[in-house]
Amino acid sequence: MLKKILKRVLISIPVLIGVVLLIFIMLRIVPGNPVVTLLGEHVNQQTIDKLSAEMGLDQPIVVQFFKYIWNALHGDFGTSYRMNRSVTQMIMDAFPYTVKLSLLAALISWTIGVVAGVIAAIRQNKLLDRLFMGTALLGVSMPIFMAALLLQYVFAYKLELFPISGYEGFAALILPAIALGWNSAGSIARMTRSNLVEVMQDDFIRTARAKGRTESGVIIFHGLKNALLPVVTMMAIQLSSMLSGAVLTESVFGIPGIGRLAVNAIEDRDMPLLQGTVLFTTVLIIIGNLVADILYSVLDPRIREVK
Amino acid sequence: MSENVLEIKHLKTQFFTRKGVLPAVDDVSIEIPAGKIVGIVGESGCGKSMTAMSVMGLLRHPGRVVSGEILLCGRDITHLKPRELAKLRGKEMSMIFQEPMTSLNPVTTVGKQVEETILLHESCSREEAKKRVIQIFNEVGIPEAEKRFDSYPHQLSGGLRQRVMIAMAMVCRPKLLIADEPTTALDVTIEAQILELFKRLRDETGTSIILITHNMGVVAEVCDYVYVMYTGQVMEQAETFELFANTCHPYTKGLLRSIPKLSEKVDRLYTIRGVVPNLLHLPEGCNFCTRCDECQKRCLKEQPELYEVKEGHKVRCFLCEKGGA
Repeated sequence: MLKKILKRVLISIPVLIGVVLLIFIMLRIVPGNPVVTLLGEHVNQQTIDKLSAEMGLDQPIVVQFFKYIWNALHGDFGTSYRMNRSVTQMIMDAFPYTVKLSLLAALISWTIGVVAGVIAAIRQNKLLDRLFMGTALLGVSMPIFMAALLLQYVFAYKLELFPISGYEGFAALILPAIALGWNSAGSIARMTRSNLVEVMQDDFIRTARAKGRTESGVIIFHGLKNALLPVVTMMAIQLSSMLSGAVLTESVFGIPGIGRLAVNAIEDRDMPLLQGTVLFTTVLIIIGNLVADILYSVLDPRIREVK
Repeated sequence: MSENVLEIKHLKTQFFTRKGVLPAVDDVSIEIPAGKIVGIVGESGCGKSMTAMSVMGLLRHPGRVVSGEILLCGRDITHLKPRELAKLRGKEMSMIFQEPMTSLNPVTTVGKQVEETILLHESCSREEAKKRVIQIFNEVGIPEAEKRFDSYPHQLSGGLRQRVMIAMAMVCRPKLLIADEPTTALDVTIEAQILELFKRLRDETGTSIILITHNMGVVAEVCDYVYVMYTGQVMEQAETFELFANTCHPYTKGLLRSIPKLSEKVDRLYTIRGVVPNLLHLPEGCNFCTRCDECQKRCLKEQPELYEVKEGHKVRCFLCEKGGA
């Protein structure tokens, strides 16, 4: 088991280097000079050159790249051009907001998703099933920004139940959490339903009935235990992608999390900050996948043994 | 109180499909005396399993018992509520299935699964239940019972899994055990061992066993009494020795002739001609008339009843109407 985890961690290293390289190259291909953005349009060439040299932007891209990697390995992800603050510090400041938002979104969407999925599976092809699955389809297919704007319009603007945007305590997180969890709830519900429907056809379900379990006992102790295995894996991946910054949700609702940080960095051509957030996100996604993998093998004895 | 552990009287089980009503079990009456092994034989789809599922109350939509009575130890269980019936399953009557490979929950240890049966029906502590599981594992011949308690199904062979299933079914000492083709998926040496186990369990615990099979050899080996089924009906019923010595129904004769014999050299094995008719389109007369070698005009028009040819030997064939063939 430990060997497996170590192996997966080692495999992630080239992935990380690849991602950094990609962002590095892309940021330098896109038009727009960060120095010009920083200083404004009407500055003479001398000043631009001087600042470029100070920021190390006059060096060859290969040198810049290795310098960045070297510093990153020492925990230094550079200084934001715009804010003149340590990128590490900025990410650490923004991350708690994203964590709170993501956890709330996960809690809401998974509870709704699993409960709706189970009910739909039990009432297969009946009215409730159709209703829940129809809603789930809407959840899966509606873009986040649309859900976010709709929620904002109805619950914040019309009904005035929640603040429209900004972060002012827990109540301000509820609408964004629903918007962020919207898709997850849909896909979890659909997955729970289809897995449970399938598992309930299995022979061991008949065995459970034959040994005297009542129908609800059969579903909870034998059906769900099997049907939720892949769902749990999916949850781990979902959480990691939520944590890596809900760009759209955070922008619409003005939550100062990782996603907003990334958007601001792009607008400002703030290369160190953007590199930092993307790298951070990548690490989170890799960890999420790793956790999903490990969870699956912990939960399923058949996979646990296959090394 | 009657001596019979189970009495099925004129049971009719039907499946209400879009294409029509399937008579899966058609007026079947079966008696299971205490401490006996009773065989139900027939081809695939003849209603053997459905009879068993009806008794256990495990029929799923669109199938249901339409009429008849099922008496377990004299108590009518035909119309019990699902919750009441669940209390009987695993305690008074239990069932094991054909597919040992898939009949156990893959993500729970086999020990826990057997323990579950005890905890469902009896009030006892976990430690006590575990002790009893290990004891029954020993009884059904699972080696290293204590170590096996924590094994997952995929770590066991087919034979061992079937032993786990038997342990699960027997752990509460039911009065009736229904074994639905328990050895079909196993190889022959394991089959012999499992059959021996059934006989031993019957002798030790007095549990009556219904053995559903398509294998006449298995019947000859362990059963005290045999019912031969075809298209949901009992075609012939007799004590095992009587059935083999004095076979009456053309269908039973066909089944027996189909067994290859080591003493004869033949190019082709005997088969009963034709195929089992679709239950939706049964022939007008005798259900077997389309495949019968001894079919007469009358067989095409009328349904024969079960005629008693000797005490305890009944045959559904006009040839036996006047007793004896």
